[in-house]
Amino acid sequence: MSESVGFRFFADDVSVRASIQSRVKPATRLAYDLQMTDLMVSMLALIALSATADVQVRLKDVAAPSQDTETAPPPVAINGSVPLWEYTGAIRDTGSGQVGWTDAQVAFGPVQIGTKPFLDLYGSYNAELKLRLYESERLRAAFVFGVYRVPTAAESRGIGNLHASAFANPYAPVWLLPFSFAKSFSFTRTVALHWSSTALYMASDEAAQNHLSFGQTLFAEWRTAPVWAVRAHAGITGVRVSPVMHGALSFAYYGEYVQGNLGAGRRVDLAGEQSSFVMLDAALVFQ
Amino acid sequence: MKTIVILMLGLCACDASYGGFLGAVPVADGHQEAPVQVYIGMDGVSRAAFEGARSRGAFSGWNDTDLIANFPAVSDYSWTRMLRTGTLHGYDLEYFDPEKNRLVNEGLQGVVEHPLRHGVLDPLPVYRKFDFMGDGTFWTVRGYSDPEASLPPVLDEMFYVIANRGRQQSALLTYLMNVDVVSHQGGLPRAIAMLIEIDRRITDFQERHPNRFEFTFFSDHGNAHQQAALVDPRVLLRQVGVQSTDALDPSNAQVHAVPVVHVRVNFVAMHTLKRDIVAVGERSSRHAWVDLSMAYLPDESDVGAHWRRFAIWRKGERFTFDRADDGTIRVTNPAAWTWLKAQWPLHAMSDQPTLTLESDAAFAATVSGQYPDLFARVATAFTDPSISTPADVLLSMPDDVTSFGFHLPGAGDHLAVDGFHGALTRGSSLGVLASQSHSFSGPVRADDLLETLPALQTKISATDKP
Repeated sequence: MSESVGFRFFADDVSVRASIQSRVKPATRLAYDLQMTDLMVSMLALIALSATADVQVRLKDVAAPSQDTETAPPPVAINGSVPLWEYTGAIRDTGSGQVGWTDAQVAFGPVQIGTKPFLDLYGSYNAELKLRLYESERLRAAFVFGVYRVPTAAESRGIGNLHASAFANPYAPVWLLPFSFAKSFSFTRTVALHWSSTALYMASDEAAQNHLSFGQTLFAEWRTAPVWAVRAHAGITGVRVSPVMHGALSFAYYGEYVQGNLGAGRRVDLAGEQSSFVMLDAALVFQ
Repeated sequence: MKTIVILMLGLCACDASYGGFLGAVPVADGHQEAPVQVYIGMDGVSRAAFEGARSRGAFSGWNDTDLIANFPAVSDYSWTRMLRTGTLHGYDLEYFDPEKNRLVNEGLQGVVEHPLRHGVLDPLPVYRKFDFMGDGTFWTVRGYSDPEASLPPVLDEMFYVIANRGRQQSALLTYLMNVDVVSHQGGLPRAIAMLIEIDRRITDFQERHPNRFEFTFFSDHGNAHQQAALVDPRVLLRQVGVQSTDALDPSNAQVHAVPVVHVRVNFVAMHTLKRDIVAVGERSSRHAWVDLSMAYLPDESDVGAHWRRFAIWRKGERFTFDRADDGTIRVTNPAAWTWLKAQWPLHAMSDQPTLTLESDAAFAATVSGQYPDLFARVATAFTDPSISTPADVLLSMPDDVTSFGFHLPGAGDHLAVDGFHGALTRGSSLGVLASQSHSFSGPVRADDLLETLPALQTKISATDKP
């Protein structure tokens, strides 16, 4: 062991301390002011994923799909970003799909099937079926039906103890069955509004986990560039059980082969309790 | 290294998605009539800070008492032992492995790993017991970088979890780190101010949920709230004629010891050969940086079955006592322990060669002195099963001296020097147990916390997670 030279420092050496703090404090403050939160972590992950995926894919001149024809429906988001409650009325073209963190899906005619891979990794196996009901230049509508099996003690499956969950099911698995009527309306070729009306049925051997709740979400999307969009999310969910309102802002990238989005939001219940959440996705798209 | 960092950040980000999903699941109210018991483990709330907050009107109507921390009074060890959640290798992340005859998680690397392993990726079993620890991926970083600024979002998330989990759980256990950090970084006034703010937030929360939640909080240790000299125990040993080494060597005729020098605390754990225990304890106690040194003396043969002998050295003078398996204490030559200022029972004959006290009587005799519950705390520091490799010799330092083993890059030596804990002294030892729903007949040993709060005991055993 190397024996360092002992020293004795008394913290009331104010001048030294003030000098040091003047250098250090702004740095830590800056880090905090920049909201070095999950959002930053998510951003790093998204950048890393995008960079990796783009090695072989030059995103040169990636124009918005269907730009060459004014008669085709304008491009809109296929997936919502608030789990269980937010959907869009659009589905992918036949034979196309994506493999991503939040959604993996493929479409055949009016039907799109998929899963949420990140939940599968955490042991919450799930599947989603989306059925196109109507599509015109401005309006699209679809039914979405999902099945999730949330394992016992799902709240303990997170990494470390970073994100304390409001939901806990310590004694039995829970089935989540959301059914949603999702609509998408394009005001212009760059501005769209998605709204989905969802009924969520929960079933479990734990009596308190058996209930039916409802939610209504709004999701506005503005394509500021052919491949970039800024999006606002709002809604009320869990009505009849524990109503929670949410508001969020996210940014999306719609490349030809790589797509992703990133955002953060806030939930508020009727008593005024508040919680933050992160929206994150990165996906490889195949046409 | 870059890859590891990116992967780790990616994993944490992925976990945010999972947290977001679970947060979207509605939680029905399973028991609307019963009040929910909320237990907050508040790291490092000292008696002095609590009293300061009370004197300014906070925690009005709460019952409270002293909670005597285990020795050494440091967080991971205290929480693990207090909530009975298994066994640690040592009193802190850095420890001495006798099998490999070397230190593990040594130095700065160990410190860097501490928040990653204990707060992020792989928390100790005790931290898994908490329904709430922090508000996201960087909660420990934010908590340490600016404890006051990070408090509001942490409390927001904590109350959100309490409000929702309280719909289905009759008892909840949450954790708050910020008071400990602000006590290290800002001293007593800022700790008091933070407690007042926490009380205000609890009051506001209860007004939003009338008659629904009852709060109890307890701390894992106190804080001396004194600026301290940072000293290197390796230098201390050298100055008293003990060789400081990385490993133990029976062929080395010189008295030598391996000090565990990790985060800044005012105790030192040392490992040495059996033959050197007495010499290390006696010599180190003569140093001005040491208040008391102590050891378990396994080779004392005249103690008797079910008894173990322990020695405490103070300025080179040796004092001994025995502790039985049932906690009974037998003090040798009680008249000599004048520095302890113990309040021996009236029937005790202080001029007798030994004084035998049942566990509770020994507790009562010492709890109001400078070294609360000295006998049990010293003995169990060596014998409690929550540590698999206890020290051979422990040093307890004065409140204005703190051990550290390395220099942090940049300004690290000059930050967070406003108060420490770990020692046997009153400031370090006195935590707080305060409650809106429980009353207390007197000071409580940290080891007795779960018996004092049966609903918490039930909650902890019921949440043994897979």
